[in-house]
Amino acid sequence: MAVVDRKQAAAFEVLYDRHGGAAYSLAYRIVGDRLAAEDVTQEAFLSIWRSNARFDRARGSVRSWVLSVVRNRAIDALRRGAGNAPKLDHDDESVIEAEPAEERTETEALRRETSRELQGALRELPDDQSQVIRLAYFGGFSHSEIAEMLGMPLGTVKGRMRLGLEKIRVQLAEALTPESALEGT
Amino acid sequence: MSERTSHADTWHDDVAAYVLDALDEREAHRVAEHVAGCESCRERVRWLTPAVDVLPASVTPLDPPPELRSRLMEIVEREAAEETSASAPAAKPRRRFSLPVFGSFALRPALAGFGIALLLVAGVAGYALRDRESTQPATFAATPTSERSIASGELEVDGDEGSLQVSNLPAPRRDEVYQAWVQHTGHNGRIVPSSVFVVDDEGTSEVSIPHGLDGAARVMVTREPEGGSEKPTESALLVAELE
Repeated sequence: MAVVDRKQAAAFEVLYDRHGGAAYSLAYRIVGDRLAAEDVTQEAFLSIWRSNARFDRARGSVRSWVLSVVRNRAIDALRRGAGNAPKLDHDDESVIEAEPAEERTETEALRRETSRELQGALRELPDDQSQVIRLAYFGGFSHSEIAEMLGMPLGTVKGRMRLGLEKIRVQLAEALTPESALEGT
Repeated sequence: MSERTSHADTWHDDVAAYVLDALDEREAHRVAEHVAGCESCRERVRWLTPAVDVLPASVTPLDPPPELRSRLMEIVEREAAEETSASAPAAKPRRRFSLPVFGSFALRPALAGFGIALLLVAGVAGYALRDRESTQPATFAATPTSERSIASGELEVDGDEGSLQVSNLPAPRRDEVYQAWVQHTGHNGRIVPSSVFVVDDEGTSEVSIPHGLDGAARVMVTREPEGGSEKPTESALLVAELE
């Protein structure tokens, strides 16, 4: 059992070392700015620390929870920064080039490979489906905001979300175990 | 067109947007209420959730700057030292937690998803506030949404965090827990998962709401599958209006 207890800084350190990279990466993907991503990641981990939480590994994925906290904080940060709208076509490959990968461990290499595979799978989605999913998940936009942004009916936006998620579910989630996709230890 | 196809045509687009957290407040409520009473749509939520759960794994991995780790650990180690030292004055006034209350415990939020749902057992079951000199907590009543319910609650809000004391909640069904939710005023009324908890034999529990209350519109309690959910799957049993 991994423990995040207010008296156990060492346990928190382990939690951060295991999930800090994924948290920072997600935060950066959403806010698109390194300093803001640092702030979001710090806020998220401190909220976890201060919540006095204890995690029972036998019952689920701590990474899912950490990343949900990070996403919520990142979306909040996006909304607070009025002019800091998310990029519609965030170029993840350019980030790879900007930050040469230091695949120090097999785990890191596996995580990067998983990311590449998932990015490739997402790219295989029709652009119209991928776009609405990215805007909703990474941009925090509602379907009505997306419809207005893209000038299309609400029903079309929701339909594209459904088709895209169904394809991801079939192509990715069934191919990857939760541990390999999310835990990535 | 069959009844089943008609139902799918009517709801599956909405359910997908719901799972993706892409509905505005009014629609999210409408879909949540439908999902609560529709096993087919609940199954649909369970089936689609993994597709959302894998989205963060598609992000290009980046190395966080070492300074971030240093800053975090500096704060955490300082607060850990404060926590373990009964006589040491706090660096800044904030909440402190009591020892766990026997018979009840609180759980931290969880993401739903095909059996990988997370249960975080809050290290404290109930927690009491001892340092209040710097803040003035506000108290709000949590009332049942059903006239037949005798459940009740009281939410104490202190800045961005709070404590929800519930009582007379019925024992959850097998493989179910209770979950608290924070609904924001902005962000299209986005509903954010908070603590997952169970109640003792008397239906009581004291639940930590660790963050998200600053600017929140309401706190709700629903019954969820074990491990909690990313979205409410049933209608709220208790609601504390903060506005």
